[in-house]
Amino acid sequence: MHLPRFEYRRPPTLAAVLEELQQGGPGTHLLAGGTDLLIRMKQRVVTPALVIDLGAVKDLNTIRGNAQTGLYLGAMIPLYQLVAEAGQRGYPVLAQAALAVASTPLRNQATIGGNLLQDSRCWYYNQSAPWKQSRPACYKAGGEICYVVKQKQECYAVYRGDLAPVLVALQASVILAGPRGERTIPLAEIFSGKADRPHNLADGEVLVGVEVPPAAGIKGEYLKLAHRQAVDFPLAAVAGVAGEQGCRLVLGALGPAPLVLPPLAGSPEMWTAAEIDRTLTAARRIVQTVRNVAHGDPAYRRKMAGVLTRRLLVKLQDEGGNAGAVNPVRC
Amino acid sequence: MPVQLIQLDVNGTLYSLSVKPNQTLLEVLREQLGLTGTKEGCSTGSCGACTVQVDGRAVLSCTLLAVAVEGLKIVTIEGVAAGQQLHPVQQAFVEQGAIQCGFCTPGMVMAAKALLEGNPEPSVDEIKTGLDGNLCRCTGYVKIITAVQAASQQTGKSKA
Repeated sequence: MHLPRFEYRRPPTLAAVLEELQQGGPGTHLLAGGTDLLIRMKQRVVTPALVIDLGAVKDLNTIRGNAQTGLYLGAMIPLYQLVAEAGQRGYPVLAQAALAVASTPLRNQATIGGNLLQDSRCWYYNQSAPWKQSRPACYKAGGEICYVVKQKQECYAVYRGDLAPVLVALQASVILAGPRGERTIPLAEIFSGKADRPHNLADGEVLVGVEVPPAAGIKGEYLKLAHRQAVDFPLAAVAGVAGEQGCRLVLGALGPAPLVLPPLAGSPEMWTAAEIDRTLTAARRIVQTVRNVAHGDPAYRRKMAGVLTRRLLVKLQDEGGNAGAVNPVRC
Repeated sequence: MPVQLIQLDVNGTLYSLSVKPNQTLLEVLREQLGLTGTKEGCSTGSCGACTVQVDGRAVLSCTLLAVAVEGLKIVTIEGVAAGQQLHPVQQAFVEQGAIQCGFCTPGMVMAAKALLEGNPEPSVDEIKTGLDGNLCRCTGYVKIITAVQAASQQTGKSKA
């Protein structure tokens, strides 16, 4: 497959990127690692007139801090670096989630920012141009109808990023730079909940970095259900971060955004069976699965939301959380 | 779309090339440099047939723009052997029967080479992770894993 034509810029500074983004207008896309954008461009899912490569901008790939001080992650940090350093810096659950992404060579190219800002996905949307020629464009692509839920003019694409559930559970914030300056907001707030446009960054805004609060003494786990141990996006996923104050749980790949479950109070040994059951029921009820994931029956994925959540909670109770190894659960 | 003049360091040789921004590294390697050892399989980052090393790391050349790798050290399958002397990974692939049709093999060798350069004594699980971006439809992977173990034993002991 060949890429479409586009104008290409590789500005040396963030200020220059913001200016190019402003001038480029709506047909402009930022390029980070390229492992999401370039594939979608080959498929003609997106055809930007202008591509702005962030690869030359210094200071976007800084990593500093640890679980005592909090962690700062530049948006252009490649995922292999997150795998290598997050555990040493006191966030093994973050290393676990990063290791769950894609494959080794893709993690050598892909970035934190790109992974967080990946577009939502759907069987009918993420296909090549020849495949999609057989029918009019779907609702997400600007057409009149969603082919998954045909009665509705609404998109049901799925946000399937691996990092976001863990970072939301860790209560991370993102630093955004734009024409009106810089702002820092909770990561959870950049997800719109609307599948056709899953992120609500303002026009001309760039994700610069991620701040993770101190996490000393906190245990975490990320469980990912996928067809294979590598390459595949999750069919369902759950991230859990537990400390003495309680446990935050976030589901992934089960809706248009990471889905936050009601937290469990207290440390893991204090959780009762009834509290766990209520959490599992909430997990099964909150998911929004439809038939738009390859070999991913929506009822099965809904059921797995409960199964994965139970396994995660049991793991936090029995083992105190992960030791850094990823355990994608096979179908 | 204007062309750009770039210099690419491929297998130790500096090439001056005129490329368009929408050319992937894979296309430039194969079509402008004639280095057809790197293969196009899926073209979408899922199969690993296009694996090369950039600054020592295994990457997928089908999802890299050529204009974005100027100034970086690129190694392709053609740059692995030392003249007629096969690299230990190549030698092991031959000796262990890890090659059937051969189409995945350049990508597998590049991924294995990158793995062993970063981790000279990988466990079987680490080998599987290191090669997890490379698909093979022929072999069932067993001989490939054995070959990587054999190659690693040339320089040190392999973990169980």
